[in-house]
Amino acid sequence: MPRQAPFSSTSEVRKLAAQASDRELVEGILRSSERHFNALYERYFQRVYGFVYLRLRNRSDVEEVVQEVFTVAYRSVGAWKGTSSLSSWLYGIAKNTANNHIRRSKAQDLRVERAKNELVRSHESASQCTPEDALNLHRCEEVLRERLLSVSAWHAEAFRLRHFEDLSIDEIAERVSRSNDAVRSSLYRTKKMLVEAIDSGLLAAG
Amino acid sequence: MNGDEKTGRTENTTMEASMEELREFLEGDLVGVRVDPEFKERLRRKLWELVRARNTTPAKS
Repeated sequence: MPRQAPFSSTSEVRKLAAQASDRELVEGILRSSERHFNALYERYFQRVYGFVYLRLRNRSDVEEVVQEVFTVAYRSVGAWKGTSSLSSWLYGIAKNTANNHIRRSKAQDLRVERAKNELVRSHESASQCTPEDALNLHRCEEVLRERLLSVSAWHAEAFRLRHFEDLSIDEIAERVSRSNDAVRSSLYRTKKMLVEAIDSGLLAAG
Repeated sequence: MNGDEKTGRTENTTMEASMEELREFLEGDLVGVRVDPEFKERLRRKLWELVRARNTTPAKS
């Protein structure tokens, strides 16, 4: 049996996407018409993806944000009253979602920097800290060590090169033989994991 | 958050979009970046499930 093409790419959906108004498509979606749903997706997917890509430039971040944009849009499509065009309504969602993502990433970078500085300071003053502080620090280090062991070697290497040798993304990509996008994505995920590890370590330490 | 609050917020947000910003959004159509077809299809299925579930769930009174 021949493999069926995804419904969103059929000529029928493309035709509907080209001919129907946004209002007709939204009304169809509210009636649970998959044809109308696919036509709207087909009409706006590239626009949203391209717009988000221009802001973030990192494929895994772009996919995460695009998913969030469409989830918000389809979840609240009934809220679109047609007082503005659907394009500008979607634009508002895409812009806010992308900006929130950028803010979250910056905040996370800041937290990693602070945690790093804190660890350095803790290390420097380890000989002066109380037994309780030393125990807490030890717990955090244990958690971090466990988490670092769970990532593959090249992710750990990329993280080390970035944060301990201050290499650029280009230099790291060359050293670990991966694309710039893959390195950025790896750094983001490793940082996220370490921040969570630090938080859970501190939480456990009370 | 209830539906009305969400409605008001999204409508207000979009009303503030300038022509320049909308032009920037339209340019998204012209960005020649390759989209992973598996991602696009996976997301389509997920969203359709979401829409279907939402439309079949009776609204809470």
